[in-house]
Amino acid sequence: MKKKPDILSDNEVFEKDAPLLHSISKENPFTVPENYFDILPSQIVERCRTENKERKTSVIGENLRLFVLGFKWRVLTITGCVAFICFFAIRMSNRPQSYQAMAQNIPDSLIVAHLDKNVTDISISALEDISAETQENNTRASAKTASDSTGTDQDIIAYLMNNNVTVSDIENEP
Amino acid sequence: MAEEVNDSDLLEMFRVETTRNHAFHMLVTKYQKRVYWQVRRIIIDHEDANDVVQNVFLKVWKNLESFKEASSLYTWLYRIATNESLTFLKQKRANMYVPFDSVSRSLSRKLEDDSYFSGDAIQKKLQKAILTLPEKQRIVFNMKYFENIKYEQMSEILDTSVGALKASYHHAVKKIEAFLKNN
Repeated sequence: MKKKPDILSDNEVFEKDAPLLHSISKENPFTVPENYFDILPSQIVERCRTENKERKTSVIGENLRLFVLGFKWRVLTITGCVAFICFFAIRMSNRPQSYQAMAQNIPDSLIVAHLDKNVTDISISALEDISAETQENNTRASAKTASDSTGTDQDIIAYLMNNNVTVSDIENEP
Repeated sequence: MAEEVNDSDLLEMFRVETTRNHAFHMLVTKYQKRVYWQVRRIIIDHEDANDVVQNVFLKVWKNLESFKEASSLYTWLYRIATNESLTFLKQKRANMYVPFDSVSRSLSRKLEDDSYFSGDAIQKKLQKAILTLPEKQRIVFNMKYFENIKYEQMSEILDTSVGALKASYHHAVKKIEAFLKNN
């Protein structure tokens, strides 16, 4: 039985397909400087040691850098918080009066008048409106004399408020 | 002598801090020539090859502790050396802003006035013929022709099948023969 030929061995390849290549010496044509291989190991070990030291230093440096960076961020954050608290505190002190304080400064007559307008609830914004209106009326009333009998309704209300005239005073007036 | 120390002992010594430097020195001494010549045949120029060899062993130094011994130490070293050489050529190509052929031509020109080349005219011609091969085929040819590395070991180093390596080598031989005939 004829044996199926295997892939040619390398020598067979050279002799058959590459006679020129086969004829060339396999001697190494490259050279190195004198004593190159004698000093190479020490050079390499020294370089590795240097790289190791540099790597450790850079790790320390990196940690320090992160700490400083972190410290800066911490300072910024604290400053930001303090600024926010101050801003909030100032804003709180400038806020309009509370609901109850506001309500106490408004005369009952105005509240009654407002309620007569079929309003079921007094909201803070309504109180603010009434309060603003009250202040406006006070300003106008102070410019006019109390004896002016031809004044408008608002003038009368302003008068009543300026003089703290309550509903019971009017009812009891002879 | 360094060559008498077996790889497992070297690795054990390397893992101990007090003997690490000594173990590494022995490892370099043991493998430096094989690594150097493999790199030199690819890179051609001695100074460049020296740089690449140093980079190879620097990489070995950094990663030897985690070497899992899935392959032999030599195979692992060889793989690093091959990859570093290819990386060097790639960077050279990128720095030249020219295609692959010109890197080969540049290496071929280096052969002409290389003070560390002592071969005769025909050996110079052979080296120029080898430089016409694609990089990986050149590596396969060098490993088989000059170092007579077995295909099975080559397969581990280059992560290529034995059949592909054999085919690559035979094609390389034919191309080189054609170059030698025509030049």
